[in-house]
Amino acid sequence: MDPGTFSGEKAAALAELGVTRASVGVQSLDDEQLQRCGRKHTAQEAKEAIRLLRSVGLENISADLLSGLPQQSEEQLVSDLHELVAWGVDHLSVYDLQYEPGTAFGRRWPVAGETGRPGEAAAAALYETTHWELEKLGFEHYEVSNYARFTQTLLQGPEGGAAGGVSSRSQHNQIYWHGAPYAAYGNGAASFVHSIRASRPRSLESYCRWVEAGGPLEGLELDTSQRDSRADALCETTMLRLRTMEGLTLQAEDGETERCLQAIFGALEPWQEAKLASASFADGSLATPYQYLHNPEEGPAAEQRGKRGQGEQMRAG
Amino acid sequence: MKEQVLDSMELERERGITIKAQTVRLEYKAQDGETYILNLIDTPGHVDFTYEVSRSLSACEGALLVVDASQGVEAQTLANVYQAIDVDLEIVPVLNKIDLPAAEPDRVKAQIEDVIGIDATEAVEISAKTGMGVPEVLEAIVTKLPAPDGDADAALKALLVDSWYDPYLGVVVLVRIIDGVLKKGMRIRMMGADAVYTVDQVGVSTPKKTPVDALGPGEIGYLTAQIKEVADTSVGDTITDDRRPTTEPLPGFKPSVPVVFCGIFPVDANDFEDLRAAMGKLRLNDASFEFEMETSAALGFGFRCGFLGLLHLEIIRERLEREFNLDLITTAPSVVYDIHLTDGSKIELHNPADLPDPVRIDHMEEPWIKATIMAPDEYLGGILKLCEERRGVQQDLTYAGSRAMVVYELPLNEVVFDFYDRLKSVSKGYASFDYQIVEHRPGDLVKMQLLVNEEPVDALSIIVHREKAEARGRSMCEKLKDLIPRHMFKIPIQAAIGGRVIARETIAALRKDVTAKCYGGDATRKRKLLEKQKAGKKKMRQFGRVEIPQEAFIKALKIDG
Repeated sequence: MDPGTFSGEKAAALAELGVTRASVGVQSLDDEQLQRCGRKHTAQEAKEAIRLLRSVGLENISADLLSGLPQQSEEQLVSDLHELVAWGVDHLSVYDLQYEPGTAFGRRWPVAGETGRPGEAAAAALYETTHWELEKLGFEHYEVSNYARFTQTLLQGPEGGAAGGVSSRSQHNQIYWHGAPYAAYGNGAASFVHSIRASRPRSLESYCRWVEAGGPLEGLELDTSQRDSRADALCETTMLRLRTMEGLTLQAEDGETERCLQAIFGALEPWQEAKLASASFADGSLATPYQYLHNPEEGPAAEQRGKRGQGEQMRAG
Repeated sequence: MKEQVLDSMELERERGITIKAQTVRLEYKAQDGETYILNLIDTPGHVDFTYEVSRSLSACEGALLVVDASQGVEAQTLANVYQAIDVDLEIVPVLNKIDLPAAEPDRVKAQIEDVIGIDATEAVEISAKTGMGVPEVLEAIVTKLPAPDGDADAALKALLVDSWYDPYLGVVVLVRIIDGVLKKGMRIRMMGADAVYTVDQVGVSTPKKTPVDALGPGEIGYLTAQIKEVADTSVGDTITDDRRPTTEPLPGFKPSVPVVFCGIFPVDANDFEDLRAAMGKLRLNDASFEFEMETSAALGFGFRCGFLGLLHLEIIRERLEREFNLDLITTAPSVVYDIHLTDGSKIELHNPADLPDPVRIDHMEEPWIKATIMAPDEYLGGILKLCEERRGVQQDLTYAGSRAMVVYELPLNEVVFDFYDRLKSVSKGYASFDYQIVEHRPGDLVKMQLLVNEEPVDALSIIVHREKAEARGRSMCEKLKDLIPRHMFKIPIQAAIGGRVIARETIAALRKDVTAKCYGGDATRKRKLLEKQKAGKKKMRQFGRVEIPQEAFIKALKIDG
């Protein structure tokens, strides 16, 4: 939901329809930044939008932020994160901005590290900073770009030990990453039913015409690869699962598949050594959970801070 | 008839060159009213294939020296004509491409007389394209070149000029009859191979293969005799009648010697058997192409191959890739070094990876060549500089008009990879180049290894002269830095001699390699991106944690001028 084109009436109407969660496209809480990016809202308007959503009964709120924006500083990003969390937002999607060629951003800032666009190392540092800050604030980094507030409960687990908690993970998004079916409404939206991905017409005008025509099959752009091609389906499942914290767990059925899994585990060794992957193989089961393997003191964010510190020292000296 | 009738191989036609010698039999009614039978052999001009030329010359009485009337005498002209002079052939100069505006027949005739030393006053001027002058050539053959003499009644003595495998006929043997008569059904003996066969078919090439009943003295033709493999025949051998053998076999030929070597490995290890089969097929018709199996820790199973020269190497490689559809990695072309060990023995080093422990080595020797380069004198400066850079020693410098001819002795290993390319480049393509192996000479040679991510990559090891090592190492590291893609960790690239690093570069690590968003309709797009990436990786080879693209090997090994 775009805070710049938002209305209370629309929110109330959606709540009445049974909508229970809203994702707000905040992007940044720095007004100058927002203007530079051509956004039509201010930080204040974003705050107002969240308050309004709450007032019509939509308690479950997620905010989208961008890291890697032109001229974005680590301080600004950290401040934005703290502020949103303070407003009671339980879920954050923080996306590393992709400057795609052919888009407005891609045209205006074509080269990484130049004209204000963060270089690759700086963008990586901002991504990492998000991770450490939100972890401190009690959020679990459960998907590449998604963080959910995790409240440790004091309830005793079944075995008596302190275990469990309540997470504000997005059920909506998790469905994508687990390959479960979902319906879709709206222009450009894609549904995934019976393993067929169907995208609706992209422009609002063509979408409305399509709806008026009764939503015929020919108007949909179909991808049947998940149904028709085992290789494609396997590739997609693997790709999506590896984006999540749980990763992908493969269980061998027999000796031969166990040997295959062993081979995959062996192939992952160099990646494990390089601290780029974590994998375990036991009892015929290969698991690849997500684990951030660097310490806060190593890794891109610390490097960038170190460089900045040096730069400041040089200016001071 | 197809345009270039004799250059029947696709590659030959494409490159505009002749690779294998081809024969033709022609009936010609001369001006004196007689009908003559002419047996002609068309030979390759390129220096790599002088072996083919020398064999063919031995089967002839005379030669037509065809010189391009616009280009004049070139280095390879000399190489070929000297061979003909050496075997006492009568030579008729022929100036071709006389139709071109750039043709200068008088100048070229003068050049032939000055540079080669044969009389060119009666050189025939022709245009093979328009047909002009061709009847005069045929006349010249009849009037100027001696007819073969040979005794039809004497015991059969025939020279085995060549042999190849034909898919329809089996092994076909090209023969030149010296004495006696070769007939279908005869029992023949190959004297050198000490083998006996019964002749199935005897024929001539017109150029189409046409069976005949018999071949007599002076004729060139082919025979088939249920010979199983080309390897069973030995070029230069004498063929005679088993029931009435000749007492004096012909002197025969020295086997061709490969001078340039490289390793050839399949990119996909699963293609190894296909590669082996392909090489076997190529070898059927090219006995000078040698190969033996080799294993490399990095590249797996492959072959070490020997060629007559760089052109030969390129042709074989191209045929393997094109005709047999194979993706290949070629390691640096290298030469054979003689390693003299401290215990007095000597070994031939074909593969840098096999170099023995330096403590056992007394000294190393490398092959040297004598190169003859001809070019317009305005390019001489660049040419001399290039030769000097490649450790060349000038032997001679002469002029024939505005054309300079320089003779340099050069180490072969300084020439094997891209000397010819560079020569053409500094002379705007005008220089011609020919060489012969002279001898092995001692040199201060060392083995330089390339380490990628601290692991040596065998395929990039080379033997190099010590004074060239640092520059070469630096150049290779710089190139690899650009050719190897960034990985998620930094990659040091080092050149080392005996464990001592002499040059290094570092490839910075990628900091992020993630697609930030992925929901709903994105999944298809992202998956297709991954599949495209995967297809791109097919040409990569894994070395420990590093993926190195195939082209990195070839490009890294080019020598800079």
